[in-house]
Amino acid sequence: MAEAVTIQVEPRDPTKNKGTGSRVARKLRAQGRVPAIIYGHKLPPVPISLAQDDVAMMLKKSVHLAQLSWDGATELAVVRDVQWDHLGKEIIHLDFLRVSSGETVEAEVALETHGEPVGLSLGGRLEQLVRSLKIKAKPTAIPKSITIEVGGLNVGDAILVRDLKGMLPEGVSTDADESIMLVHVVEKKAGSAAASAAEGEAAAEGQAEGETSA
Amino acid sequence: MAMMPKRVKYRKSQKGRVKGNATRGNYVAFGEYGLQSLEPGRVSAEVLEASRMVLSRAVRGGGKLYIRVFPHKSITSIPAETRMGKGKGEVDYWAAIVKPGTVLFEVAGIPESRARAAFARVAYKMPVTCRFVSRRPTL
Repeated sequence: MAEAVTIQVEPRDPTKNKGTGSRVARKLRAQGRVPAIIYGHKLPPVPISLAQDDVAMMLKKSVHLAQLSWDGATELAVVRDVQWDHLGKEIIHLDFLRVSSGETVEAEVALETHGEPVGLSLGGRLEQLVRSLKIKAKPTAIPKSITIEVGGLNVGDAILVRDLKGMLPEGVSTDADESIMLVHVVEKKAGSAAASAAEGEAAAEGQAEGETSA
Repeated sequence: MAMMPKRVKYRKSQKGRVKGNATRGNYVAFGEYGLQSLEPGRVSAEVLEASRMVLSRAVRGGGKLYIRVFPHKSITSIPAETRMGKGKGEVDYWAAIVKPGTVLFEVAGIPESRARAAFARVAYKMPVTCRFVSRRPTL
């Protein structure tokens, strides 16, 4: 469970093109600030900006919840969307969704594995198919990550969304399809060059489909 | 054998220009670590195959390799000492068009040090400058 971080934000200057637009955003980024917006609760959206250091701190702590304060006002908000630059080095825009502490919100949380599967010693290989999961929880109950215990997995065993019930923290639920496979232990292929070549080619052919669906 | 399309509508394509940055396929989506292009350019099927061999050796025994680009574009050339004219040359090789940000390869299930070492060898083969990337944090 992650605590809300308090971040001092600045509303964008409404006299200059309502403080929005690519030119304004570019200027803000040059000054070391990240343009963002707050919306939700049927209130008008507020274009803001926050310091890059604060964004880096949120990333480091994997915090979804933030207490945004400006001009004496404070708003509790969760990160709804993150835009990265083309190289994935910097965040170029953030979307915040207004929330109240009592309501249930959706958030994307990282999935982590814990333990060494029994199947690894029997010639298996752990494959994590899903890296993050959309969960529903009260804002203060959103975890930094969900840990999946994989110690008991043998070759051919898998953990599906339906198996997560015992592993989800209290107050956290997910609407994801119960039949989605999260992790499994597969048998290692024969170490021949031909086998690995076939695997590489299959991955390449499936890549185009994978990208269009991603 | 180097990768090439099974079937194409038109055998020869115009040269074209690689403009802009990658807006898709620009993050590590399937594995844990990847190799990202920092320049626009063409990566030939031969180079992709050579890189795949290096990486498949690195992931042998517990890892998985993902190739994120495919050589869809045919590149033609005319033989040496040929007079001008007489039409477009024959297909010489196939290449993948990459933009700054394109993730070329991904690996999963191997330690970071091994992935870095393998990608350093692959980056040396590439006609574009590349960098090692890992997954974006989930926020």
